[in-house]
Order: sequence, then structure tokens, then C-alpha cells
Amino acid sequence: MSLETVFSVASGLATVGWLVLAFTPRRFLWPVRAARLIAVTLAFGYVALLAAFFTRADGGFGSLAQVAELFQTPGALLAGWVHYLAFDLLIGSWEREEAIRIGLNPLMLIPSLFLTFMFGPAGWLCFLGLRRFHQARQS
Amino acid sequence: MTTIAATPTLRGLPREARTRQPSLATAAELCLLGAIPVVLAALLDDRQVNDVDIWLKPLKFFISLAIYYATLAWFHGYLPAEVRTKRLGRVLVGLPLVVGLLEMTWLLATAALGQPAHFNQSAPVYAVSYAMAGLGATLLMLTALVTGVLVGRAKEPGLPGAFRLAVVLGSVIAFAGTMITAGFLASGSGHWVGGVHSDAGGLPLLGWSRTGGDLRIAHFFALHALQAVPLLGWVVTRAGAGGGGADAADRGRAVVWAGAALYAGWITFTFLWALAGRPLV
Repeated sequence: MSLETVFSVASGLATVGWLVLAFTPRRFLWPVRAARLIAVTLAFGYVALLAAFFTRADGGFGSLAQVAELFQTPGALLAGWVHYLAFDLLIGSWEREEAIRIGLNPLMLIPSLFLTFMFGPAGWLCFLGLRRFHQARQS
Repeated sequence: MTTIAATPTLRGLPREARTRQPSLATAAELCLLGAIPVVLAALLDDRQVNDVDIWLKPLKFFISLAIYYATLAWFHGYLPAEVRTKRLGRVLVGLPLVVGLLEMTWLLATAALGQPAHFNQSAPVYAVSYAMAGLGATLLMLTALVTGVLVGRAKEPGLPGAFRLAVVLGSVIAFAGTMITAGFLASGSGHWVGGVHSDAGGLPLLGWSRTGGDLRIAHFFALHALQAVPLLGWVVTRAGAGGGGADAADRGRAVVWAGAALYAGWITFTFLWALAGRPLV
């Protein structure tokens, strides 16, 4: 299996997860579960990439230069990418779950989900701000 | 208490195993889940040992351990409560969990490092961990032996004598057979006797040599006496369930003795066959 194929499959899976999180009616519970299942699948893929490539890559975690060197190995770079995909999707599924719990309008959730999809932590912060705003109005 | 008559459907097996011994059943489940990233790693990784993918060995051991843990969990259901709650009962659960974890760590780490696990004397760390793994494997088999013998001694009501006998014989043959076959295997420098020293042309997944003797075959059958003989006991008990009476029970025990002897003979045959340098498959 080529790394490009793995990249395409992983990105495709993640995209499906994001689409069901953003564009399914809020009364459904399955989109959260489906997104979690996809995140678990991506985590399996991440572990496999780690197993196959980590010990063969140079570099390390000790300095920026070492991290850059680590990502010179395509397999390790792909592992890092799948790591993003898995954890971002997990946060996205949490955002939807939390939005339903506090009674947030699902349309309000879409920008946060989009930002989390594109820029991970930025979207998470956006959601936290939104939640704070919502709760302030409720009380 | 568990009776043999309460045999669940195939789909109910995982739940039944969890009822019998939750920790061991969960370990079996996690071993199967652990096999998933190993299969993916095999698809990604082009490194090889003995001309087959380096991740095949951890995959085989995950599957093997899953079967082992599931079998132990099953046997625990036949133990009386006073055995299960005592220290020995807890050791019979905790010890195989810890040892199995260490074994898998060793196998996964050596594969990730691109090294063979068995027969690796290339550096002290590999040689020492290989030796330790042998000790661990002995402990795993010892656990199975003690658990099986305790099932035999338990005399739980509702558990037919022929089945209990099969569990005891299965665990004794598995222990003794594995000690001999695996012990001999480990005393050498590889699993081949003659033939091409490569797993590439071997049986799919198992890798048994098609060109010469392969000592892993007898090791495999010895190990799985733990499942094969009790399974025979189950079949015998089910077949004789309608008859009843002391005669039927005696007949059942006789069939189990005969079947166990045949199985032990088969292990001996595959062992001698491999020693003679002949392929089985």
C-alpha cells in the first residue's frame, strides 16, 4: 500500500466524519458515534504508521530541528498528519455532543466545526467562546 | 454454577466468556483488536524476517494469545468460587495477563526495530529478551496446566466426568508437549530441518516449510491440545447426553482417553517427521 493511498483513504474518512457531524439533524445520535468510530479507525492507522516507520526515522522531539528531521521521513510525516485528522475529528465529535447537551443551535456550531476541521485548536477555542456566550445568555 | 449443557450460541460466546472471567475475556478481545494495526503495519512496511513480512509474527502471536486467553476464561467458569477468589485463583488470572503483555511488547518492539524476535543473538538486549520470553512462555503454559488440573479436581455438579477428563488431558498434553517441542526448538538456531531456509514459500500465515522439516508444526499442535482435547470432550458429552447412566459415562471417558492418546501420537508424529527433515504440507 503506497503512502499516497493511505493519505487519500485517511483524508476521505475524516471528511466523511466532518460532513456527518456538520450536516445531519441534531436529533440523530449516530453522527457522533460514526465520527468517533472514524477517529478510532484513524488511530489504528496512526499506530500502524508509527510501528512501520518510527524507528527508521531520524530526528526526535528534543528540538525544532529534530522534529523537522523526523518529518523528513514520509511515513513519519504521514503519521503526524493522521494524528491531526484523528484528534481534530474527536474534538469535532465532542463539540457536537456538547452543543446538543447545552441546547446550542446546530447552525451556530457549523463555523466552529469548520475551523476545527481546518485549524484544529482555533476551532476548539471558537467553540469554547461560543459555549461561554450561550451559557451567559441562558443564565 | 456453569454447566456444560448451558452452551451458548456462537454469537453469545464473547458474552459468556466475559461472564466466566471478565479480565481474561477482555484480554482476548484486546488481542484481536491489537491485530488490526498490526495488519495495517504489515501492509505499510516492506521490511522482512525470513523473507516474510516482519509484522506476521506479532500478528500470529496476537491471534494465538487471543485464543489462549479465551480458553483460560472459559476454564475459569468451571472453577468453584472458593478457588477463584483465593490467591491462587487471582494469580491464575493476573500472571498470564502480565506475561502476555510483556511477550507482546517484546514482539512488537523487535518488529518495529526491524529485528527478528526469536533466535536473535545480534545484541545482548535481544538475546536477553529472547531468553526471558522463553521463561514467560513457560509461565503461560504452566498457568494453563494448573487451571486445567484444577477444573479436573473441582468436581462441579453438572460438569460431566468425560468433559473434565478432557480438560485435564488437554492441559497436560499442551504443557508437556509444548515444553518438549518448543524446548527443543529453542535449543537450536532456527525452526528448519533441511529444506530451503526461508518462510517465503511456506504455508500462508503459518509459514510452515514445504521443502523441509519445520519444528513449529509440532509446537503448534502441542499448544492447541488445550483447545482440541476439551473440544473432543464436549463433542463426546453432547453425543452421549441422551443415553445417560454409568455405562455411557464410562464410554465417554474411554473415548476421551483414546482421542487424547491419538492427539499426543499426532504431535509425536509431526515432531519426528520434522526432525527427519520432511515437510508436512
